Amino acid sequence: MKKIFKELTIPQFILLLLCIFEVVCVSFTFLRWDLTALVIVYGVLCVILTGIFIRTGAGHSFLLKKKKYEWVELLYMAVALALIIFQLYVVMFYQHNDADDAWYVGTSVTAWQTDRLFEYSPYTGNLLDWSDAREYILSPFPILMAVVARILHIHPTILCHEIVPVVVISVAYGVYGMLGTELFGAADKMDGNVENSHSSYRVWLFLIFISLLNLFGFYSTRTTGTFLLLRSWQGKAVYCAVMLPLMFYYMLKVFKEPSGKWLIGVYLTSFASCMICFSAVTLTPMLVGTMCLIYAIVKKDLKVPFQLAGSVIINVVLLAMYVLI
Amino acid sequence: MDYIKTLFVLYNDKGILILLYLIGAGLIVWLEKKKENKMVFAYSACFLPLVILNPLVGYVMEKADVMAYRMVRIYWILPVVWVIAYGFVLLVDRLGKKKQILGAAVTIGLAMVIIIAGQPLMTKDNYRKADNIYKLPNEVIEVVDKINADYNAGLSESRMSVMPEELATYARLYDGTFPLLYGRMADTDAAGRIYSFMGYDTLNMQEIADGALHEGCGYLVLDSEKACENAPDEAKVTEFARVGKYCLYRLN
Repeated sequence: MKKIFKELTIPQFILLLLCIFEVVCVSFTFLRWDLTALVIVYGVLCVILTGIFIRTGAGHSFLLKKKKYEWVELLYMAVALALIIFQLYVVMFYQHNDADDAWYVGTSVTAWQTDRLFEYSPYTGNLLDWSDAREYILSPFPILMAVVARILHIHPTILCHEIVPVVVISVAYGVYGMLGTELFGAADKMDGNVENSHSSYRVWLFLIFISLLNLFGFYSTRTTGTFLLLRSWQGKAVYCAVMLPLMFYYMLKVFKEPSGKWLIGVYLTSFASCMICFSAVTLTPMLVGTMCLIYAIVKKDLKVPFQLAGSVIINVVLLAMYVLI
Repeated sequence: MDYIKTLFVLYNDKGILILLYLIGAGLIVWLEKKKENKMVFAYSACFLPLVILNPLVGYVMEKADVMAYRMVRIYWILPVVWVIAYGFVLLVDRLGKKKQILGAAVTIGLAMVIIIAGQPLMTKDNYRKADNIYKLPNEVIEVVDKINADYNAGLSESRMSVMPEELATYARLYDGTFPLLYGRMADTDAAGRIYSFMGYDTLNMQEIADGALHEGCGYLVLDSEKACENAPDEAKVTEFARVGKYCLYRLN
């Protein structure tokens, strides 16, 4: 156990906790156990696993060393941070009402107040027919919100509208930063990499362009920017704006160094995505399939594509469960 | 083919975003030397002709009756935003190596392209100052509070309510125990009938009240700006409160 944990990076550990939530929550829903039991069991599991993770000394590479910045870097950094802070300011102090909240936030509030998991319809409060909610039962992100709300003692609507957007947008830009450092070869301490001496201005510039693309990304209501900035508390927004770039990050890592350390990142991201949004059950295999095809053609190797293909086993299991419910 | 066109328009309207994406992918192919980076970010664009724009896939999805507004999520698999940003950074880096001032000018130019070609997201249509800590419309909170107070005072046998869709969608986000005949959508035929009556420009209060009462409701909320065919007396309802433009009735 300790050996496995020592291999995990901090983002991978967080993904592991999300995967465990999927297993525990889906089991509790089918067993018709209540939210209180879920909070206790999942809370205890999180505490134990976090304790083990910290004791193994994993994640220490997260600590950043002091670095001297050139003025160009500082300038780009200031612009990038200003753009990100502006986005955080708007989601903190302004409101956007989204009708889809009736289901997503409604499910959290209903579970939080009735203590039951998927027993009542978030639309009306009537008994819920599971055949109408199969995908949500198998991707219980709203219940995670109810669990967090219970632990923090706040109303789930306040949690979803006030706190989660700030967390999700911050995490999203953290992931984009990881992706940028991997692409441009700057110092990357976030995910346990070895530092190299490259200037990081390109990473900040990368974040500036992404921020602008998000801020001016209202081409339709379906773009990543729209989901991230207008309804970041819904699972589908987390999937398209956080989990998919994370998947690309781990794919890039695997393509560069096909070791277990990065393969586990792909596996955990794929699994955790299923907990967050049911669309991931079908979309992630398409992405993995495309990547496997590219790898097999360019590198003329089938071993890594086979290893990557294993990451979507859980998707197949969930799809089977979806058909059977 | 129509299905594919629908998906394309649903995702990026006139196609500017996909055009920028293809430019970004092209810049990566041209300027990036690391093979793996190209494989993951540029070559993954092959998903576009292979699956997303493939008429065969569109035909199968249409036959399988997969709703376009859901299927459009297939575009998420393309790393659109990251590829554009990545390609632009490579271009700035290449030109900036020759002259730093040129790099800065190109940065500003590309930022302008994103701003001018794009559509602003943080507008008055999408955001407004938060009404309250729940970030729900104030009317929703007031209506739910007034009905709860009336019900708790023992003035009605049922708390189940019928209200306009713009309130019903959010009422249970404030109080998760609040019973509604329908929410954002109706899940029974009877509820669906009243839901459609409530959507008319002229309301038949009697028909709505009778239907709601038959379904076990205790309260009815109507938009006072809409014309009504009958008076409250005729419909046997009692007005007990007003919240903005909404009249709150107790069903007798």
